[in-house]
Amino acid sequence: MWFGRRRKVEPDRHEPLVANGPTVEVISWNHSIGDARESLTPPVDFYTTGWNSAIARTPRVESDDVALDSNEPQIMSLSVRHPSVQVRGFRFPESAQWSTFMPSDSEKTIDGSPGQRRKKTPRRSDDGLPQATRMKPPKDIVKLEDRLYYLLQPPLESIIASASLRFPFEPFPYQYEGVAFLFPRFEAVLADEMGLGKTMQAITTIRMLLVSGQIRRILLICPKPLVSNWLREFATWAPEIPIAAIEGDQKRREWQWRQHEPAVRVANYELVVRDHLVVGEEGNHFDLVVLDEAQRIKNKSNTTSQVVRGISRSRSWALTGTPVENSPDDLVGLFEFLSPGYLHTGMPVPRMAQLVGDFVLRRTKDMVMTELPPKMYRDAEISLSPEQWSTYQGAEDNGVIKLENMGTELTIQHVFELVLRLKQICNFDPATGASSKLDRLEADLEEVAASGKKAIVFSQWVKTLEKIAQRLERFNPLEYHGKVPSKKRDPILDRFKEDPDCSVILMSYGAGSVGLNLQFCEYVFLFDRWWNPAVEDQAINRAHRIGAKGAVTVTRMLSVGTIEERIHQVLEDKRELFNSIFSQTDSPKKLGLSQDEIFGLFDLKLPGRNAA
Amino acid sequence: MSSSKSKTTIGFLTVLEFESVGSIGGYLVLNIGARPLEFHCTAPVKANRAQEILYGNTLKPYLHGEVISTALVSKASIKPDFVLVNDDTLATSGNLGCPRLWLQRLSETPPPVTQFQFVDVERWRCCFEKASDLDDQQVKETLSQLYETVDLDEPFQRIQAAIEEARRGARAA
Repeated sequence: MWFGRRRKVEPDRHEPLVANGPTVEVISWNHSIGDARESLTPPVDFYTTGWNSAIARTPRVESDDVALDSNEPQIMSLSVRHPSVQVRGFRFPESAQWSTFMPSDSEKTIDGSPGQRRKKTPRRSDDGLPQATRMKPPKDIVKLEDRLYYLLQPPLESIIASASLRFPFEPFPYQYEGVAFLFPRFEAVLADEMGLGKTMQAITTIRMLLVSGQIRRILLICPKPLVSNWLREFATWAPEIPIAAIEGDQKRREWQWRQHEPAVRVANYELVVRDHLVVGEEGNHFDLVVLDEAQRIKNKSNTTSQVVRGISRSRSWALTGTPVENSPDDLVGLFEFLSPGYLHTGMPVPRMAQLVGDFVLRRTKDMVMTELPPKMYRDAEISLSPEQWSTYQGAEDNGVIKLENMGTELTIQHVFELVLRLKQICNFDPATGASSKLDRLEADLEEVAASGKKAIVFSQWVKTLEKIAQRLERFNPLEYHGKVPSKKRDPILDRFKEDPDCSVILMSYGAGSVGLNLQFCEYVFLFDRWWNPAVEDQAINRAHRIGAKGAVTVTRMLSVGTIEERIHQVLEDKRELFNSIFSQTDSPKKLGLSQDEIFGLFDLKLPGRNAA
Repeated sequence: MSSSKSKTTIGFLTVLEFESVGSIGGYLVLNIGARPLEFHCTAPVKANRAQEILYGNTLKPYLHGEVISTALVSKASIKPDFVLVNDDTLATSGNLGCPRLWLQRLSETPPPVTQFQFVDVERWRCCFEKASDLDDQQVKETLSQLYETVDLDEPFQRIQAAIEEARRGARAA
């Protein structure tokens, strides 16, 4: 800022300051106000910096020498080797033998006439995908190659289709599983409930084993009434397989036993026992022995069991709907045939269940229920007629007194005799022939006949069946029991099936409860109950089989207030025995009818026991 | 391709990965009836750390394709008409020495048409490289015939079951 008056100021000019560089003219201004005020021009001093001379000089560069390291640089290398791969391989030459089994005669269709074999496509689900039932190796196959052989097979349905094995009816899925179970096993029990097709599953598996070349010689052993049944089933399910029954006189049978043809032989238990010397001859070896109704050999010390165990064989199968009838030790007897020493008497039930798990396959109707018609129980609780009641009470009272008086001489046989006598009175009054059960049966059969259906009536006594037959004459009853000659039995069954006027067949438990197919019946009557629920179930399943048209009604006749009612309770307890071994439940509270329980039917104590 | 249909053989190749042990390959050779003729499987193959780093994203094609698959197919005594594989890695990696078909469901994204040809069999798409000398009609005929017996991916399930069985046996030992 300027203060004071302004006046023109002439610059002062000085001598320039000249160094060794450019000339710099310095002009300074001295401003003075001219009166008393001081000069405001700050003093300017000039100094030499030497920059000009410095700038003109050539720069001097100083450097230091650093010696570099003369060693080679470190190199890290990673070798990328091609990893070695261990490969394990298996060839399956047996697969080349999967050829269609060609018997020496021509191919046969189901009806026995020659026919062409057409390739069958495997079963497919609703979404078009092939059904796949896989074979799994049994646990006793330990070699990896053998286990892989089964795991790497195509699904069973594919094998069957590619081998052109035809069926008259499409097997159910659980039946495919049964075949898959049997096929790889050298020891097996097929314990499906009666009516689920054990015969068909065994036949199909035999077919497959023949086709694959794994077996050549098969022996089927069954109860005598079932020999013709097996022949019929083979004709239905495997018409291409030659099969023959061992029969005829001794010379003929000996000759049959020594032949290598046909591939499948059928013989009954009694005949095998009779011919045991020939059957057991050296060189008489069977690739597979199948026991039907194998509970026949549950007693390992009986002759039948011993003879059957002595047959030379590679594979052992047992078919039975009742592998355990009275005691878990029944299974021990069975396994003496399959794998001697594997089980032993008195083994705890849970342990036994664990051991047999891989060898036994059991399905019940409930498990495959969706594929079967329902089974309905209708228990008929019947009061005795006055005549019967009078006779019954007298017999029971007198009988019990007699048993009590026997003291230590009392045996279970005496008790059985009384039980049987009382049961007979429940059926018919011995004096008058009165029978409230028969009255009821007659009434029910009127309904059955009127609806065009057929019924089976079971009783444990032939005499009972004969009395029933007389009374029910108007229904054209047929009889099938021990007194009927063997040759007449098949025609009786055929007539019952074909004749619309024959509405009822009367069967004894012994003759009629084993291995017959009566699936066209829709009614079963148990006129008197069997001692064993397993045998009762067999009887019921005669009708409740696959293929039954509709619901099967089972009527169990029970005389109220009598020994029958008490036995019924014990039978219900025995059913638990099956479930304890063949399910995951706990072991049963009761293991069948013990001697104490039998004596307990009359409030008696076993001789030698102190009274409670 | 074999001129006799009855002698037609088909290979099925797959590699399974197990977190703990690595990759295991399985190779199954079937006849046209889907019956097993040969089976081979590898011991577990696992890349080391260096290989994981150096191969990076190419590790899986290298291990599965060039190492495992080649070892399996070369070990087999039967040379099939073609080999079916069920994933893209195996479809393009390794030299098997025989034609290769990549099996896809129809719902999956197809590979590029510039590189592959396709043949549809029922619910399956079979892809093979254009460079291979496969006749698409014959491929379709053969696979259709096989489909009459088994679903086309069913043999891979058998391989898986067999590998698991082999592992169980190895663990037990």
